[in-house]
Amino acid sequence: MNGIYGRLRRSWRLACAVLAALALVALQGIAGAREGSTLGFLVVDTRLAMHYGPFEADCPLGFEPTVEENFLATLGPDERERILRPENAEEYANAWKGEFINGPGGENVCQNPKAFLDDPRHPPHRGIQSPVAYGLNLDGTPDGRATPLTCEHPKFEGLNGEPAVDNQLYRAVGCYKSRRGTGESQQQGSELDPFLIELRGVDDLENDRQVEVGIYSVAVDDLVLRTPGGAPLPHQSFRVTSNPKWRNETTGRIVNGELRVDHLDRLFLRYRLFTWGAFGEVYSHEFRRVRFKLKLEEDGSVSGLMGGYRPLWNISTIGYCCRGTASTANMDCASEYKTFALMADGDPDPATGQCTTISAAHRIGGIPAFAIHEGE
Amino acid sequence: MRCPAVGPDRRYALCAGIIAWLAVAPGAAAAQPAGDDATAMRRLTEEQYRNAIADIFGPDIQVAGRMDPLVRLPHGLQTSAVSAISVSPAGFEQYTQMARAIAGQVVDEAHRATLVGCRPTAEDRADDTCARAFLERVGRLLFRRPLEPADLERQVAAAREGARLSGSFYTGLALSLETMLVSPHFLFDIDVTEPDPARPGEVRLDGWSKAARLSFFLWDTTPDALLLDAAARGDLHSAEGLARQVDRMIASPRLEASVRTFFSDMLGFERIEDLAKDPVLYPQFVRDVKAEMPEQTLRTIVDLLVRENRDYRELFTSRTTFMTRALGQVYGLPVTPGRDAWVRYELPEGSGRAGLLTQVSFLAAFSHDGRSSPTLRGQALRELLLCQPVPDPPANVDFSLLEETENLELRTARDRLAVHRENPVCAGCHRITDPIGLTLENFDGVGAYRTTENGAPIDVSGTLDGTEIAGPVELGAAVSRHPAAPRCLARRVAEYALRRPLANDDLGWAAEMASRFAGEEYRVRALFGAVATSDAFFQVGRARQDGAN
Repeated sequence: MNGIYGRLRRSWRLACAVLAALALVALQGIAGAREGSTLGFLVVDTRLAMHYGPFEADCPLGFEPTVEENFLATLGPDERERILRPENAEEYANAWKGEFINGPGGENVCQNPKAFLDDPRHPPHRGIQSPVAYGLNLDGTPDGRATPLTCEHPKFEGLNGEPAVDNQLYRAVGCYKSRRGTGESQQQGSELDPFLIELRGVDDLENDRQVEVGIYSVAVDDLVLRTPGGAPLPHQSFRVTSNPKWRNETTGRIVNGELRVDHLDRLFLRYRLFTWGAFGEVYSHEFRRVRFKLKLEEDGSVSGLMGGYRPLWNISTIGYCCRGTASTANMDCASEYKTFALMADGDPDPATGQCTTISAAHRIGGIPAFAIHEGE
Repeated sequence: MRCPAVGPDRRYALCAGIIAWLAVAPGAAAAQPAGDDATAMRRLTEEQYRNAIADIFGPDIQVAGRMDPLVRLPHGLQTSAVSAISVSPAGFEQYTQMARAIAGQVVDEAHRATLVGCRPTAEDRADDTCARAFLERVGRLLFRRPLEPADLERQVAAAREGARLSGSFYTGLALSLETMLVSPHFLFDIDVTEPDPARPGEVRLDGWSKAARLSFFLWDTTPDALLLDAAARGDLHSAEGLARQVDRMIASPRLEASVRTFFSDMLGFERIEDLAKDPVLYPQFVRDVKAEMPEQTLRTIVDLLVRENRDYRELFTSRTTFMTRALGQVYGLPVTPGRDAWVRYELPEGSGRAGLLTQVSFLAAFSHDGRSSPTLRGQALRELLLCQPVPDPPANVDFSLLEETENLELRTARDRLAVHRENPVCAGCHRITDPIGLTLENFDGVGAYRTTENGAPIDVSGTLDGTEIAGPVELGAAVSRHPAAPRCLARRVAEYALRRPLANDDLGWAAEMASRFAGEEYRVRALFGAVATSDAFFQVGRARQDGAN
């Protein structure tokens, strides 16, 4: 997963500059929408909701180990000292990039992390230790107790003091080196392909008891037009995908200028891999029991949180992708998968009781756009 | 004529030798019949050159190179510059390089079978019969008249000499063709006259010159074979024969190319090539938008005025246009992408837009890099569309106040211009531009819609020659009713047809064309037809540039 996330990284400063520029050119201030009007947004910012608190508080034991560090941890002091000598560099590289990540049966830690569940050399991560995180209360409980749809798990406090928010994915990956450097480099890139949100039947932008909400992937051919600096331009038109799987519809409400979607059972969004070896392969991001909380901004943009449960298999399929992920991204997918399994808090397997999905939140930002429904 | 600097390539030496030989050959300077008179010459525009090459040799012949730019004369068309411009040494260098590249493609293995039209008896030596057949046919098309026998023989001899020196028939043929492509008889449209049998003692354009004049006006390219045949028969000297050809040419889709060139010139679209916008203020002004905004207007014009043959005045009020996704984000309007990048588009009734003046090509072209400009827009409307020249500003005007777009006291352009007009030196001209341009202030410097500037509501009221206007759509309606608008178009078309600034002697004819235009319910097709069939269009010996514009 880190490999994909890392490749999508973009600086927060750039994002701020882009949004400021877009605000200048916003043509359709959403204040004053006519009765029954339609609003569209292209969601271009879909970072995993990472909260960067004080490192010592978030990760008191330091960064999670890389796959290389996990390998070194299996060696005694003398052997570690020997193999790290420059003259043994080739032996060292062959050792950790060979058997350690490919396993005795030839399984790769990132291609099939489940094959390493019993291998103690790939231990689960420690995870975030501090109590504050971005997120939404997805299970409806005040304390994370088990329910028919969830497993018992610890809760976070929201950044604005909201009680009992869920974001176990952040707990699992929040101490990765690849996810938190220092300063600007802490900020992550977008996780998802740009997608559309369309609000229909909007009578009042401050308070509206019910609006129709469409969440759609964009038709494959409709590329996002950007400035030379890479900023997506507002007010572009995008065709809604013709694939019904990636057309998601529900209802929501507007409360004090904030769009709230309280429940969308399943959300699928198209995702095209651009990783070497799998370039162009199309997958779906899957989210379950999704909630949105988005501020409708004066300049016509939206920003806020999207939360939901993500199936572990879905994360690993998209995130791990290929055999080379471990050796090039230096990540221990087996450790990560074990961490996800331990921290999974949604959709318990009826047979084993093991939860199969993990709560997550994305900080999303959208710019005004037009959703084109062809044939209508 | 001259060749590029002689280099290691043997072709250069061959070319230099052959051109020099042609230049000193007896009669080389006179391709026209002895005793006739050349009264004017106009350089082919870049479009005409490219169109001619495509028409004669096919669209897959690449023409790589740039020509000397045309310099727009004050208050006139850029096309008029062709009557006054010469060819610079650098420009001729470009011509020779293009000629070499074109000739090389015509005889290369991919094209020779179709373009040369005959096979030499052997490829390693000259074949006068095949060369003559090719050069006679192509020479007629390139020079827009048949080659005199002596000239044709000189070209055949050049091909022969080239083949002898190079050991290749096709190299020799290419070298002969190359000399034709850099000939003034191809690069310039030269009027050739002959005695006028209807008016003893006077002259008239010969048929070939008439054919060229018709073709460059109506099609923006060289005459086709049918038109040359009509010239050869003398048809163009009779009203019936001329009308027959003009009707054919007006009915041809090729008319669209000329109408596009004309309106691009009339609207001053060359300024869009150099247009730049502040990327922070106008991030939506991306490369695609810059390329597509003049194209949108030209497509609108061709569709409305040529294909639909509608009233010219509707150009200022019509909500029908063409759109791309890139343009849609500037207009803030949804665009359903079609199979083609362009889709025919009906602007919504409440969009605040209708007609040419609300298209981003006009709005962005006549704005500053970082702000709109009611003055530039008003001036453009006056000068380009109403033919009412606006004086240049004095040299010592202080524009700093107008440039303070973040002035919290003067938040809108109207506020800033009001203070600027307190300077009596400025007030005179601004009074004839600003009341027009202020009605377009709903559009920022790139043409995007807005209702406020610096948080202050924008007042889009104004006037046009006594007509009260309440915004951009009403401005279009007012221009469509303005009697100067169609008169101006007729005058511009007359200038475009003659490819020179109108002289005072031409004004009566231009006025007559305006009347004909009105009589034809302002149909541009009819106007082009009326100009092309009028006597004045073919008249010779008129004054050049005496400031009638």
